Amino acid sequence: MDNSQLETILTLEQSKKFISNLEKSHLNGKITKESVEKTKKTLLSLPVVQLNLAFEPSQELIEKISHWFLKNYSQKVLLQINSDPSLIAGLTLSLNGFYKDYSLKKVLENYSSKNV
Amino acid sequence: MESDLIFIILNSLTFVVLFFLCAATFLLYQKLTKKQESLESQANKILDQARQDALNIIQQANEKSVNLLGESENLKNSLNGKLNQSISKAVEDLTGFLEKSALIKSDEIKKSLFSQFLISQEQYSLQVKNELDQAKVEIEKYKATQLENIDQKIDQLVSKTVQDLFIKSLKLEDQEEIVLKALEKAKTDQFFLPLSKQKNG
Repeated sequence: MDNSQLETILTLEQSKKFISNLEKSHLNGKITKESVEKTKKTLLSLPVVQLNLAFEPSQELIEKISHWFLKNYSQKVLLQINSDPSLIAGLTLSLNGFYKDYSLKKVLENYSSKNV
Repeated sequence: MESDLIFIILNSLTFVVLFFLCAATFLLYQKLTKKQESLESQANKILDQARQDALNIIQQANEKSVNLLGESENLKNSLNGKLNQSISKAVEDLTGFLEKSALIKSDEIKKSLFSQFLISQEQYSLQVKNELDQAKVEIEKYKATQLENIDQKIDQLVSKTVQDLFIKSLKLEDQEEIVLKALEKAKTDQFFLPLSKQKNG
């Protein structure tokens, strides 16, 4: 996978950061086929948490969320983040086929249905 | 000389002859004129007579027609009188007959009409009641549908307004804080329990 391929799923900045992190994770700073395979295997073994946010998150927020998981569950997770402005605020979560809605949209819908 | 004498004699003779001829012609003319006058007079008389006869005939015809008109008027009056009498009698007979028939049938007709009226009134009342009930049901149905539509529209409007309000009023920092709080809530709800199990497993 070269930089151009990475840019199809990540921004340029994210791609550079990914490669930099990949280089740092190896002692001699060289990326070999074996090391990439190893990294790939590691990534595939991580649990995937899907998050739908009401806005485009900043890199800082993504890192905060990632850190939150590390802090609370002592575990790295892969974050699959999408944005959906109709949520207004908050987020929806999907993990291992389970889904939970913590959006303001849901709160308003519940409030509205209770008052009808 | 002799020839001249002969000529004179001949001329004289010719003159005499002509004279007689003229005289004869004049006499004949007079005679014919008189005859014509006589004939005209006779013709006038005949015409006068014929005129008089015609006048007499016309007068007689007039008299006869006047007589006939008088007779016909009398006959007409006579016939009218008889006809009126006949009609009056027929009307009296028919009236009597009808009155008798009406008296006999009136009770039956009254009963029949009254029963039909009662039946019609009941049917009409039932029909009106059914239609009224149906109308009430339809009105209630329409009312419920309209109220539901109005509620939905109000709900949509309120939701949209609230959404717009929140979207405009929430800052990025607020959004991020809400996201982190939502993660905490999910943790409390044990939504991330599979992560603990996976780690332990």
